[in-house]
Amino acid sequence: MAITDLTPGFSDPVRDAAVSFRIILDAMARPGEVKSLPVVAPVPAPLNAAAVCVALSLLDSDTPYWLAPDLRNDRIIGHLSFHTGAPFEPDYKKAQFAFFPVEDLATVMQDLSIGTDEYPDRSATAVALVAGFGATGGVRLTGPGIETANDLSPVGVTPAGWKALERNSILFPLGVDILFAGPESLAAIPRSTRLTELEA
Amino acid sequence: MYVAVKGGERAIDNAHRLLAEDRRGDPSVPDISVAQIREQMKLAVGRVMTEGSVYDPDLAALALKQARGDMIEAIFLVRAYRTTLARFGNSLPVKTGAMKIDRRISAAFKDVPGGQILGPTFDYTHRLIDFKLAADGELPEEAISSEEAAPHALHVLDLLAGEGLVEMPEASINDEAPGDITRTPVEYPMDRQTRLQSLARGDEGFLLALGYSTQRGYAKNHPFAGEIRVGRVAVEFQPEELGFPIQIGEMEMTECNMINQFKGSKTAPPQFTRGYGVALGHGERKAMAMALVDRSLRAGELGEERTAPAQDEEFVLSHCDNVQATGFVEHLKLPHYVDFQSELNLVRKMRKQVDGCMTSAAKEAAE
Amino acid sequence: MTTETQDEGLEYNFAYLDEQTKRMIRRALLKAVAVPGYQVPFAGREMPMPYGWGTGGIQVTASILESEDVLKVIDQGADDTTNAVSIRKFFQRVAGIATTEKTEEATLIQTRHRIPETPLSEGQILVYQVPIPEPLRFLEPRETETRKMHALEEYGLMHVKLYEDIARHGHIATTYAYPVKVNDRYIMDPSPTPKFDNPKMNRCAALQLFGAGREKRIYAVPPYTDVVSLDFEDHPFEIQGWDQPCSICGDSTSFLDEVIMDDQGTRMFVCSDTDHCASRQAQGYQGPGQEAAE
Repeated sequence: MAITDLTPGFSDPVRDAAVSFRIILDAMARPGEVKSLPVVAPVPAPLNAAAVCVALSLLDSDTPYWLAPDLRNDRIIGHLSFHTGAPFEPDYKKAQFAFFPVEDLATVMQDLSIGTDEYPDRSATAVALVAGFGATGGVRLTGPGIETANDLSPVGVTPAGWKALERNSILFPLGVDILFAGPESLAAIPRSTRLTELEA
Repeated sequence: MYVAVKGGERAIDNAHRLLAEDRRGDPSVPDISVAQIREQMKLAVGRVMTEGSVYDPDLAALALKQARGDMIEAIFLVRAYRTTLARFGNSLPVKTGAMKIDRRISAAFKDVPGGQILGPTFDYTHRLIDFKLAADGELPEEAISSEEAAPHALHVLDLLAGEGLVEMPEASINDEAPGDITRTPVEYPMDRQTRLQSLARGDEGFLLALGYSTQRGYAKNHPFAGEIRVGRVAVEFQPEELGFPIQIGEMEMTECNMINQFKGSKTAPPQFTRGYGVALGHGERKAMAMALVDRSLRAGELGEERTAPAQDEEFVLSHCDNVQATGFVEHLKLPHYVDFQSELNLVRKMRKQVDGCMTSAAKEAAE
Repeated sequence: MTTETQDEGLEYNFAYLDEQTKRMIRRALLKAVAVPGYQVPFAGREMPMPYGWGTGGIQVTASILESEDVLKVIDQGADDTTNAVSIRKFFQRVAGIATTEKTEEATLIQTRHRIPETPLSEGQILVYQVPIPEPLRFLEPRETETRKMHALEEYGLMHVKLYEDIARHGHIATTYAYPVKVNDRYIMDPSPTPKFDNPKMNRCAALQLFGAGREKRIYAVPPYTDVVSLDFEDHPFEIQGWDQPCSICGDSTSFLDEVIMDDQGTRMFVCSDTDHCASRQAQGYQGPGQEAAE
């Protein structure tokens, strides 16, 4: 791949990574609240803007990451390698970050690292790509970070996907933390959140 | 009327000015140069480099000047600077067996191939203050160069390897980059390689005292100084695109291999075991103390009962870093008046209860 | 003439830390938020100020800071204590951010030993400097053991310690760093804040982050999270109180510092939270000390 094929990363890497991280932190601290992206970096298809923000602000050479086959191509791997130095990990069980279409949630969640009893932080972060967030349906969330209850409806989560998330929350303090990455915004469901499915 | 003290910023600025003045001392006395410290306070420079974890004599000398001769402060300055440096890669392991030797002794044998080389040592000096040094010194008499004594010598313990009576260092020839305690969180139990890193950075005084304690029966292991060597080693780096190593410099270092008795265990035959110590520059005391503590911390691995502080990995390693230790001890200088107020309230409350009990008891007694 | 110039800060990256270190800390922070009260190990860096001076809090602040932030730094509740001044100046130099002494104006508050009296809001983050992050450390000095105790939620030892206090003194004799249970799972050290401040942590609207530099741990309490001070049914948790109000602003609900006025040991009591006290004075409140002086 020639250097000219590369898509640029953040236009102001230090500042853009800082503001992106604050949005991700805010999303993780307030599960179910949909946060607009403060910056948009160029997006190599088929990733989306929030997934790129997450990757550019959190990955580096210490974080093996996995891409679902649908998202995987040389251009994207080259892009992330060039801008973050992060190694692509073909086995998603070993990945610290896993990027995949939200439709794959149920299958991917089965095998991501959930940490250990003594080190629950050694778990994967799942980045599920969504087309956007709907107004109805979805789940009602309660738990840390939520004053009473938040409703969240990422587009494309299958019933099996919701089941996988409910199982994940039962594992607490072990478990995977999920970021839903959209084209303009993102939201999170960390393992500490309890879920109740809503009627569509 | 009470007015809270303000002006912290002015006080701090002023303290910094006073500090600069105090560092300089009497201005009629010539300023000390970094080169003078580097050349004439060499052992101090070595210690700052070892515990600061950077080989840079000029930087260490500058830190000593800035720190007004305070070792731990100088070590701290070097460490804080070190963390801001970019890393280009790892050098290859230095080959201490190929060291250009300035000093090399073995206490385990009368003579060894390559010879006992005393080199620059305090060992047989009479500790009499040399008042001649107070007068502006002349150059010392030139030492007689020990003919063309072989500048290289094999490790003494390697000479015994054939018999299998001394354990050999673990074969650690692999391509994996070594761990780095400055970049990854510490976790216990710790592998020996990482442990040696912690000890190498550890406070000389702390390791000295612990090493001493093992000699006095707290974790008895009678050691022999198998070999102590001081000299210069080549530092090599292999750029990825090159395919062969290139020498990027030379550094002075000290290495100590202690030999200890070992009765053997279920899995290992009776043999001598080793403790290993190393220091940048000329640092024999540190290297020896480190070797003693390395050996005592191998208790678990060698199936020995852990009974003494020097065998307690978590105790030794979590307290051997003097920059951490001094920070936490000295932070008691910072205001703690909110906590103190809380305790004051509690002690008053408890006193009230006690006094109350005592008065009622006294009343009862009087009645 | 001072030896320092504002330009000196430009030699370093924004907020001093290099980007890779920030990313490492940012990832640790996300895990800390996801597992409230659990101490995440992180590879703390050597900072240009000593361990014990708030290096953990400073690393957390440096990793979350953005240029639009307004920073407040307090020590013992006061903005003008020397180390608060020093840390504030550090961030002005290396990040060029705005600072404030007003609690409600701040987006980010770094603190040592106090939680501001003014209730925090959703747009704020409170960063605590932590010396010993392990609440079980004084009961069991070994990390290998305390880690197991947290893993198994085996907290009997802590309850035994508190109960021994009651048996001996008739009440729990812990006045600061009073242990709390977070989200009904992990026992957490709230840092050496007086227990007076513990109730402010419970279901706080702001995100609370904790950094221990020497011990290399980060932990967090997300907004609206249950933070319960440990107690017993027959000995419920209670906070300190004072017999008199603040001499300057007359508040009888804030945490008071005792100030010795003369060699005879005359005392007066004033708010530890200097911003709180100043705002009350600006609103016209007066304490007994002020009235007497007039």
